[in-house]
Amino acid sequence: METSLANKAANLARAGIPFSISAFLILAAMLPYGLPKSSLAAPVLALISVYYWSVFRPELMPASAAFLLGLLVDVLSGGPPGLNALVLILVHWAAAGQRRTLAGKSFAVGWLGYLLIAAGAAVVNWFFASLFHTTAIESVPLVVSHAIGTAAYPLVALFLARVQPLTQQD
Amino acid sequence: MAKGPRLSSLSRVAAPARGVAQRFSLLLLMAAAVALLILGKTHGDTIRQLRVMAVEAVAPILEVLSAPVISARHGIAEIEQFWNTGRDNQALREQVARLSKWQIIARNLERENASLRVLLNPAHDPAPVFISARVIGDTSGLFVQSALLNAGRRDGVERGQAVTTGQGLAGRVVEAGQRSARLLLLTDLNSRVPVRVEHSRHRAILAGDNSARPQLTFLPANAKVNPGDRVVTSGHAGIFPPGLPVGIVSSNTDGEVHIQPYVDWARLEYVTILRYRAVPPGDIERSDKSAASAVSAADPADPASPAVGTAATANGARPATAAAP
Repeated sequence: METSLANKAANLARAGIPFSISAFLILAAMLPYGLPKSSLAAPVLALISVYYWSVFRPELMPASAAFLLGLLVDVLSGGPPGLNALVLILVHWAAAGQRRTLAGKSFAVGWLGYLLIAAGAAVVNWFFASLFHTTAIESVPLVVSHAIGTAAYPLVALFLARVQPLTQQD
Repeated sequence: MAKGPRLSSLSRVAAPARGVAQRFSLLLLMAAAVALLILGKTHGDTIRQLRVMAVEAVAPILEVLSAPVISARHGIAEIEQFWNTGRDNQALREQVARLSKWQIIARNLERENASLRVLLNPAHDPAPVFISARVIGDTSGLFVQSALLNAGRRDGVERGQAVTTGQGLAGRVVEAGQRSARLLLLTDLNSRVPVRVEHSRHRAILAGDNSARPQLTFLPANAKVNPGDRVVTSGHAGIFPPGLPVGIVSSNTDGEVHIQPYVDWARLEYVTILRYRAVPPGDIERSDKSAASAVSAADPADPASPAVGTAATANGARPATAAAP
């Protein structure tokens, strides 16, 4: 009886890993490193993490988790409220929907999937940010951040792949 | 994956229902996000209050996580200092030689200023109260340039207060929670600071544009501004104390003047929040009333008028007592 209770607790903790690690990445990116633009990594890391878990462990990264992570970015950055939440839900929806195509294939397929889905996310981000500010906002920073995210994807995905076995339920 | 047989048979039965539920929750969450965006536009103040509360909850985590980062930065800075000791020493010696001349001049001016002040009896600007805070989060995004501080309302921090470093003005407080506050940097798109070009005394508004070099706007057409001119706060609007160093003019191309702020953003670790009010709240209305009564009664000897009237002038309001005969 006791062991099953402990098992349940352990399973619950394991199930929480994808969300916790994503939240940690967001917070860690926003620490005052004194490096220019270092905080711009926060939404990018959130995007990569939500994409990764939605493809490889979608049951542990439900839409509600993506929503909360987006909200965390929005709250901390002080940007338009709900913008990142919306973007991350859509990323989750697109990635989880295409997981048959993306998961279990070569690493390059996952990377290409990220490139395409994150590009869509950037467009959505630009569209709603422009709507919010009622002006066509500059698109260059978004393009640059998308390029950096795509370049950083292998590194972050490698790290998350190391973490992934920890989420295995008993 | 590694699920038991019981679970898989259950999921086979529940799968369609779960699919519908998932799609429904997806739509619901999307609607919630869009609703938040709309509310952020229509009920900005309410959303801001909610955000302050949410930041309050996360601030302790950021505070703990940022401590080792700050320590590491200090360590790196110390190593840098060690390597540069010789060169710094030489530079400091030269600076001391140069500044000791200035010290003599400043002392003479200080004495002269004090004696002239006694003669003129001008209204004094109230001295600001300083609140020190540590930067616990660098939260600049693509469109917002801000930072989180570990001081809040319980320390006396309020919205609108000026935030400085040892070098100059960094920005102002835009959100103040109980224990944390958000600093909007000078460079943010929404930042507007009333400033003055120190040399020519021309007034302008320093407007951030999300670039490293904010722009001087509303400069008079005839204003002559040259690269290298110092820019300080003007004290208009009464929120920032006058004379705080802001930056130097970095370029002036066809009347488009940009400023290089004094603050080194890469070294934004500790900041000073200035609790300052040129006129205590409610004083302006009172001075208006007293001015009105002074005008009607034609009594220039109103005890409250002179000092308050001068302060109101400095605050950009109409000089109330000057109208009194």
